[in-house]
Amino acid sequence: MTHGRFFVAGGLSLALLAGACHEDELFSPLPPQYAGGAMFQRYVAMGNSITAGFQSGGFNDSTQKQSYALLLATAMGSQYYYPSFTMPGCPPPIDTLFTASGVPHTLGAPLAPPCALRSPTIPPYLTNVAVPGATTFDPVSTLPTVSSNALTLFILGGRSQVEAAADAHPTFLSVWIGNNDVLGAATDQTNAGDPTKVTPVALFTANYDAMLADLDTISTLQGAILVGVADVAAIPYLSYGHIYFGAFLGGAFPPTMTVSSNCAPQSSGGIGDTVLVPFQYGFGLIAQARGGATVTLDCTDDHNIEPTELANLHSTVAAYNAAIAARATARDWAFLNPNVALAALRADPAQVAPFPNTAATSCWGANAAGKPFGLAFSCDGVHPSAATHRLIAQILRDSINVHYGSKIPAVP
Amino acid sequence: MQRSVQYALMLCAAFPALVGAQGFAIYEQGACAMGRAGTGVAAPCDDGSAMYFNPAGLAGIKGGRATIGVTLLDVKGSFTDDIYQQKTDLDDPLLAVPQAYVAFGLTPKLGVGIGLFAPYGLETQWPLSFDGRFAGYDNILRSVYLQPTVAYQVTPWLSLGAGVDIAFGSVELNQRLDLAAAPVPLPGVPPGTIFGQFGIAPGTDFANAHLEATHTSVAAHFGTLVKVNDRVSFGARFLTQAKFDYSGTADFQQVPTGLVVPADIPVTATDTIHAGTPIDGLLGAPGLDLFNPTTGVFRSQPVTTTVKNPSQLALGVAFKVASGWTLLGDYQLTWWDSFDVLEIKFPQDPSGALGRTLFENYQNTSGFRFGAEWQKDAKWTFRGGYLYHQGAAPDETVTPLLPEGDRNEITAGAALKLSKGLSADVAYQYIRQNDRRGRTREPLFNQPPTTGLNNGLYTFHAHLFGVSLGYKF
Repeated sequence: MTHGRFFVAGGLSLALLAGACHEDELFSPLPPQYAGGAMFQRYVAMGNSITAGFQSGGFNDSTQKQSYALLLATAMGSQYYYPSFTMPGCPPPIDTLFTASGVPHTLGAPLAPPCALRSPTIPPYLTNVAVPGATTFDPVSTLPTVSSNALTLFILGGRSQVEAAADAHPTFLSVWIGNNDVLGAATDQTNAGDPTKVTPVALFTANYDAMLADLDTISTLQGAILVGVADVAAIPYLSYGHIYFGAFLGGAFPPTMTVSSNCAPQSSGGIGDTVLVPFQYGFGLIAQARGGATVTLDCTDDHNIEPTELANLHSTVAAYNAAIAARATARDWAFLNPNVALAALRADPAQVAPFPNTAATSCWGANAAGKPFGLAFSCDGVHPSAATHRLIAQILRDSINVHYGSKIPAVP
Repeated sequence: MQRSVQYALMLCAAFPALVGAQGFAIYEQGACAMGRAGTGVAAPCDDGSAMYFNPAGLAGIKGGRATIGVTLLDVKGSFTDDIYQQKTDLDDPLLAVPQAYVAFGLTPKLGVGIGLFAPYGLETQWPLSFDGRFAGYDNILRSVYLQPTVAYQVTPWLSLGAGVDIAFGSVELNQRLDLAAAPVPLPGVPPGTIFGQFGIAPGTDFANAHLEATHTSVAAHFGTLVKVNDRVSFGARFLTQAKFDYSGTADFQQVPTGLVVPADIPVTATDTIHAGTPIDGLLGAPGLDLFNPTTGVFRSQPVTTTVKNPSQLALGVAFKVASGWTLLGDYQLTWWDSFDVLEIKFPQDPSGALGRTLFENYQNTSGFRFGAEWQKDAKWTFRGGYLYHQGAAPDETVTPLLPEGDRNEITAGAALKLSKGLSADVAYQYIRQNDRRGRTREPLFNQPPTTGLNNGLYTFHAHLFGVSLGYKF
């Protein structure tokens, strides 16, 4: 054999080596194939109960799958991992609001504490890190806050929302936080609208800035949309006093129940169109009257959101949203004020019932007769229905496309 | 006892792959043979390494030989996960595998010798940031064989040889335990509930496990050499299986998670875990007390297992052509199918419930080696070769402990006669393993692994450097 043959053999070996198998194509997920799609390769949603998919006072895999975050992620083509809660839920949602006993019926059998836990199939990371009940005090906190609850642990496992979001290496974020900074006051059962339970604007903005400062350190982030705080006046859990007054005049209540004339509209000398009556208080009185007690709904009662309190809630939400919008602008992020769409829903009685529909037999009906609070809201009168989640996903998609010039397809 | 079982299963899930993969069979037992791709069954090198490559090769040697050598392994590997597309590199140091051989021709037909070599060994080190740390981040397997050998030339064309191997084995495994996958042994919580269902994120280290075990075993090595004529020879060797009944200790240390319970969590109608409770404290609190040195689940305790270093058969042919050239070809079969199931036992568990059966399902492997040697003159000899070897691990058992697969390798080497009795050999070998999908985590609770667990791509290559110094006397 010559030297040449020897080196031919060596060359053959090298060729065989060069031909060694590569499997790179087996694991590289491609970014979504539309304009701007790469930005949305990993979308993460932060927020509170709405983002988490809370409906009808409960939370389970079924309601989680109706979250706008999932719908938007699907439209984006982004992988979506959520902390799936097993049935019946944590807590189980209400399935029938109006019952003979007067106690709403929840899905499934009563549970041993704490509740139905998460599915044992644990996702590698979360793209929906929202926690029901979260306020602006929570997104950066790993310690107990005034608003942390069992779900804070079950969803985040001791991490903060920002830490959990960062663990997902997000390319795009939506942040809808702050609703509970006013909702807690609006739904307070002894003094609805209590201004001392509203997060002051200065503190709100400080909390928000702390969250943004941490988000700014996420190196993978290419864009975000900040969502403004919802105006509590848009939720059907709160009905205007004049609606009660009208129903009273129409004989809709038991004979032992009276609605004070101060609940009449301003045009009739009352304050009923600037007072919100919480569902729990108003229907509590009705239940008492049905039991034979003599009761009066007085629109100046502390249980209601009174005119000054309502004005404070409106102005606070407006100040929150101005601060959020300014911070979005400073980062060249998108901003969405959800109140435009929510106000439009409230203008349609089929979407947002001005007064709860007691004829509703189920929380899952497909039409107005089946929804105590209208088509747009679930059975707690606070959280959006599946249809409204779809609407939110769509307007988020529209806002993002406008701001970034992207072409996220329509929400499926 | 139930919680003990569950925690132990977490721990042991990763143990077997450490000792089960084809890739830790080390064939580079001398720079001479290494330079020609490990071929030599039919024509062993004249440096005493025949004790490994074919014991029959000692027959007919004249005088004595003493050779010492070392193979340095510069291993490069990585794992790129599917989810984050994050690449993690192996952290292996430069590894050294020594060899020593002393042989002597007692008569023109009878040769004897003793060899020290390490035919099986492995070290994989990964950074602690690697997800595979829960399978093992610092894993060492050593098998050193001491082999007295005798060989006899039965006829001018037939030689036979045999050796007895005293095999010293040791294994060491270091791994982290993931709280997300750990059971919650609290009253009122349904059995089988894991901390992940309470929200603990995957990848939350809460304990470090260190397992170390040793055993000495015996094997045998047989060889035959047939010289058809002055130019053509055939050879065969067979190394028997070595069974190691490993016995050692498992030690554990708590790793702080730094997590705090953010709100009151009712776990029964009367018991509540209060907001602000550190989870690390909870794990050590009465009721769990996981790290209590005498009663805790994670107390130091004995552990045993049985591992078999598989049998090897090699067949070869050598052909001397003109001008000092010799061409060699070997085929090797390794019976890795003996590594199909592994039993892990904890003798101090009176119920025996801590034991675990693990499914590996390794496959027998074939290797094909081609070498060439050119003796340029009395002083210089040059070598080269190529080999291909199959991987033993099936697709569902490619793990951080040894992410092995099919390999293509090329070699080159040279020998220099330094003086009348002294010579030096050097060799280089490049290993290119086919990229292969694998996993970073082990299945929980005695489940057979599936390819569904595979979560990324392993790459592997290595540069090997061999050097031997031989003396004839």
